[in-house]
Amino acid sequence: MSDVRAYPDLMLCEQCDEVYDRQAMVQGASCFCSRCGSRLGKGSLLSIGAWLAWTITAGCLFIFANTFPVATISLDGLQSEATVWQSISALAQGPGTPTAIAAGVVIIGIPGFQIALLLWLLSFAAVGKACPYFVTVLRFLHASRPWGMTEVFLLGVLVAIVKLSSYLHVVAGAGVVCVALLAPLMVVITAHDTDELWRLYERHLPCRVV
Amino acid sequence: MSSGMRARELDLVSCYLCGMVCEGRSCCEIETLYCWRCGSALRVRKHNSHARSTAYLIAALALYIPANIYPVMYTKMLGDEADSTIVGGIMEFWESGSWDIALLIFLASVAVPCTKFIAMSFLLWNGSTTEQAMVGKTRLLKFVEGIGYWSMLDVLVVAIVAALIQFNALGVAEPRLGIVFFGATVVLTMMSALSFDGRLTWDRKVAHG
Repeated sequence: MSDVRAYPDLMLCEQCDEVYDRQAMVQGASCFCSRCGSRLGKGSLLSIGAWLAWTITAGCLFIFANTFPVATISLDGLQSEATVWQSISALAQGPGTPTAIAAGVVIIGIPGFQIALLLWLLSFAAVGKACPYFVTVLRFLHASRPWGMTEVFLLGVLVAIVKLSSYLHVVAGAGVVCVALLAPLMVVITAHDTDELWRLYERHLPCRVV
Repeated sequence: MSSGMRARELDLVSCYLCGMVCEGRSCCEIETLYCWRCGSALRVRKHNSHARSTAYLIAALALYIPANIYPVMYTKMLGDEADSTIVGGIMEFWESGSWDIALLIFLASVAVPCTKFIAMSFLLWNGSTTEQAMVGKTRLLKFVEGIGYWSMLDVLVVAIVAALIQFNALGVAEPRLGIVFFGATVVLTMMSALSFDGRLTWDRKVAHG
């Protein structure tokens, strides 16, 4: 790291580079750029403890969503149940491998990874510490943000059930309920403002003249 | 709270990751500076933004054609055999009376990608610099980023239908080539929007006064 002069009290608008005074931001309120109208900071809606609590909830729901069957299909007495994981891995065996991999990554891989990283990050932050690999963890969270698609998955399951129900008798399983609860929760925990965490990290940096 | 100044005038640059404002914007072109707080490389603008965004957009447009020509799913249920394309799938829902699902899939697989193609081309090639147009373009970019991933709906529907049916001996559903092209289109349009740097439009305004 070179010695770059930093200004912790300033912030720049991400869209138009207008300079703002960070101190004037009201905690918990959204501020908008007076030049281009885009949002400047999300404001911290949740305390770190509450954020951790919601992440733990999301973790439990994620496990349930993957272990409870999403649908029960029956036709002429033949009945079968399938969980998300079973269906995706079964699909990966046949000619649908690329589709299965893509779907598996955006609905299981990335959300699971985000939850795991947040649990690691926030359980240290809750006791006022910066976790090991802090910067790497935040870099991964930043990069994976647009690629988690739990909400789209929820809609996809519902459409798939309607589509299949014209041929077979399909009943949505408990897994769908878990996905429905998980979808809004993923938005809350992954889109939360990380500014407070960075300030925590800053306090643990070796002392430098600013 | 606004200083009324832009970062260029104060020689400032902000870290893409942690948002820390650092000095030395003018040096970034010559040497690589690293953020004081998190150590990420500081960049004034996203690397090669305009060219990358254009390339992703053109690639997405090119792949959208085979995505619509090739069938996305093969189904065989109760003796009915069919290869359906994206539009074919929408028509099927429409004719079977589920106009709401037909509308939903139409929005996700046709309306959203086309809106993105038009919006991204507009952002990349529109040169108007009035205050109103600039604010509009900033909003448009946010909107495109927000709707982008809903197009994945059709890919997930095909995957889930094909996956669920595997557990039932009486039906067969398999993904076909078209869905791979369509998935690639969606990913490429998302990458096009993500690599577009909104600040470039504002730079143009400053250059024109």
